[in-house]
Amino acid sequence: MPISGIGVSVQPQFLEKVKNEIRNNISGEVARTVGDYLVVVLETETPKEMEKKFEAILQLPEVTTAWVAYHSVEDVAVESSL
Amino acid sequence: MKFNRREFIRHLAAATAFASLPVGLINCSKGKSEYPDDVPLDPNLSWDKAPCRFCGTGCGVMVGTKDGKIVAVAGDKLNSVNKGLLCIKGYSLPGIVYGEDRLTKPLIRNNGKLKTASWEEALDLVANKYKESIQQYGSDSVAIYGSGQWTITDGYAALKWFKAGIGSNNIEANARLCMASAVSGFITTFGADEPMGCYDDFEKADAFVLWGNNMSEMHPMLFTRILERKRNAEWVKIVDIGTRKTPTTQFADMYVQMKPQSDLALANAIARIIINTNRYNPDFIKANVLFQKGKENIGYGLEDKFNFNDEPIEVSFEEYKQYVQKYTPEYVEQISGIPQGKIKQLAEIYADKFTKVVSLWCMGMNQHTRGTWINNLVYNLHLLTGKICEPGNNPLSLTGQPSACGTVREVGTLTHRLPADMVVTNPDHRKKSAEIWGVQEDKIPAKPTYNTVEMFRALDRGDIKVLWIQVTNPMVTMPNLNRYRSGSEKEGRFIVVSDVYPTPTTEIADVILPSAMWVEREGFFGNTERRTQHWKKMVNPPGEAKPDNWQIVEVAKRMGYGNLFNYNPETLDKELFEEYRKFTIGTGHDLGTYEQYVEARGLRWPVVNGRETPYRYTAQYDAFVSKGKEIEFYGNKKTHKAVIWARPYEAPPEVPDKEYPFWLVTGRVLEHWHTGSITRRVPHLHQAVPEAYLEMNPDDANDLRIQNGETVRVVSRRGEIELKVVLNGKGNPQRGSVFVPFFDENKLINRLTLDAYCPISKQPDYKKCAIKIEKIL
Repeated sequence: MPISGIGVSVQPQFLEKVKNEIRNNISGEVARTVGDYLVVVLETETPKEMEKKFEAILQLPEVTTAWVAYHSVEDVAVESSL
Repeated sequence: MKFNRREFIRHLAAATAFASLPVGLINCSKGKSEYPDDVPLDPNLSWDKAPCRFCGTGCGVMVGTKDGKIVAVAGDKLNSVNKGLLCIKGYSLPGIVYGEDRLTKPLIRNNGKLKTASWEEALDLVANKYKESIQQYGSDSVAIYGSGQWTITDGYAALKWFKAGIGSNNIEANARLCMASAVSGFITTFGADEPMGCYDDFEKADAFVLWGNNMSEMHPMLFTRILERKRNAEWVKIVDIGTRKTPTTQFADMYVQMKPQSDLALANAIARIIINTNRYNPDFIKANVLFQKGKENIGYGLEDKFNFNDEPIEVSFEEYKQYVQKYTPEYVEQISGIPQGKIKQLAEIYADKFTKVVSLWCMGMNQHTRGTWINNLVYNLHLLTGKICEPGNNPLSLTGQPSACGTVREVGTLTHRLPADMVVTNPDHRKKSAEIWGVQEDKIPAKPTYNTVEMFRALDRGDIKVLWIQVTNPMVTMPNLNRYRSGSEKEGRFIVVSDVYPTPTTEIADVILPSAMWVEREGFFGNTERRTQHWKKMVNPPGEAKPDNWQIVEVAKRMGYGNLFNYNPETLDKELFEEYRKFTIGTGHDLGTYEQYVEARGLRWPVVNGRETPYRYTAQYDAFVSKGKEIEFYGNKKTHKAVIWARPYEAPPEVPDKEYPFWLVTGRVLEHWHTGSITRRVPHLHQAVPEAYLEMNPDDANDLRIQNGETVRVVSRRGEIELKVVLNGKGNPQRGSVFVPFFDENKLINRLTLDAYCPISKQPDYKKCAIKIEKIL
């Protein structure tokens, strides 16, 4: 189950709009807002779905750019306490 | 706080993404951070650093492994190339090694069928074939063709095997297809290869001029740095010069649409405006520049055994000034289609002494039948104005492969080269190389043999009989592919291919050797900005796969060159690297020690007393500049000056006509890397762009009554394929021009391309040939 941490650079006047888009239409977690940047966590069933979500963020007209900072493909289906 | 494993990874992902945000903004944020500045990586995994396996940017990646498998990647915050950021291909790094059809055992073809063999059998067969051919037909009947994906020590082993062992210059690499014009541009202008500037320029420049360069897709992390610069400095301008609108264009302040090949005229027009408005820098020119003129009407390399030697003559500044007077805005508008006003606007960016300019390019300028010339002409603009060798003011040629610079250009895995910018035609260079290798000076032939196109022509003719291809896929990438595919399949040829997956090139192989890739082995890559990076082996390769350098050493030993390859297999990479390093010391290409690279996030050469050099030729940074000089282009050994070249506009060899009315431009897409042999194994990348397509201008489509998604026949004088049409996709070509990506082995666009090349760099032009489009009824 892929989990990714994404940095997103947004045109400042559209921060709220982009946050809503990511939360509601892309099912991403906006973990934090720093200036004009968003920290987004994506979790999907498949790598293909992850690619689609990342591409969807990049395609938002108000997004200047986005990048992957962390990407895990570890199988965490069987969850264990640390 | 207690997390389960999934929550823990989510937390780490968020923390790492937070830590990757541009530092300036984090410091400006008012609220107290809930994440630490320095995020520790998951302690349940083993982590180590590596450069990314894909493009020439050289992003730093932290690779997380568990139970012998790669399970996570993170952008390496400590690597100044990408500062913790990764592009979409970073997602794919764990996936590229785990494709279902990895080659895991040597294969030998018998009666047309591939059969599993032992390494002993395969290596003995390869060595015997080389020996037999050399004995019967001479040492130039055998060859090796490698890659900008060769690690530095792979390339060094191959070079030594051929030039010091076999005694042949029949070594080439696929960087001839992508970087050779950049090399010859640097050499003819500065006397030494590779850039004076570095990525630090991205935070210093006021304007970025992209010459035929889709950075948004091809170098996304570097483009992100440019966008960040623009965001923090509103005056910053991005200029996109191209024949096709791309995803880069949407971020440009100015889009300059030009007709193919007319960049030559445009650059001369800018130079003319700079001179005629007295905005050139006479002091800089007097101290640092010479003017030269070379031969003109130099041909296109279309004939077998094409040969060209330039004969430069020195000219004065006044003669150069007169030379460019022809390139008036009016005249250049006719050639290029660029409105005169835009030419003047663009010239102003270079001419204005307060505007720091970085010029950037990649295949658009290099894959060009006048590729050396256009590289020269862009350098002219920086040299005329003195906008060079200082932070934020530099030309920067980008590379497409992870070690096109580190291996092919620096080690010198080309027919005419030796390590550290030395060439086989220079007796002193042969002497130095022979001494380091411990061979007789006359072992290294003084004459270059075949460039890449000529090498495959020689294979077709039968002059080359045995060819080993490593880490590259020429049966997808060669221009005019039909000739070279049939040539390689002719009777009497013996082809060896080392790779990680089956490809169209393994289809023609008599022996297939399974290779270890990326972190399955130790390695070094060298990136665009002269940064050499090392990584350790982190996981085992699948099956019996072995590193390419090990394969070469084993064959060389079997051929009787054991004295040249007497290395400990446990320390092979270290020993090869330290031996190669000897070539660089005191040359201005100086590399650091093996241990320094094991520790560092890469170092930009020259490395002097353990310190890297971000900017070359400038006293402030470069230890090789003579005392008392501010700038010194010491690559030109006699003059210590750079050259401004008088070079003309000349048309390409094949232009659209009534029968073939469209320009064909080929290139890459974001999702696939080069021939797709790796990225097409990653399901989500393959599904994102499953096949090649034809991108065309909607008005042209309308004229031909072609609909979006319709399959058409695309025909050139050399071949034809069928492709689906995409209108208003990611890119939009100008009228009369189409774009087709080359990654798809099932739709080989290079069956149509022309094998014309720049006579100086010998690099083919994949951006210009004539085609027609036929509806399929």
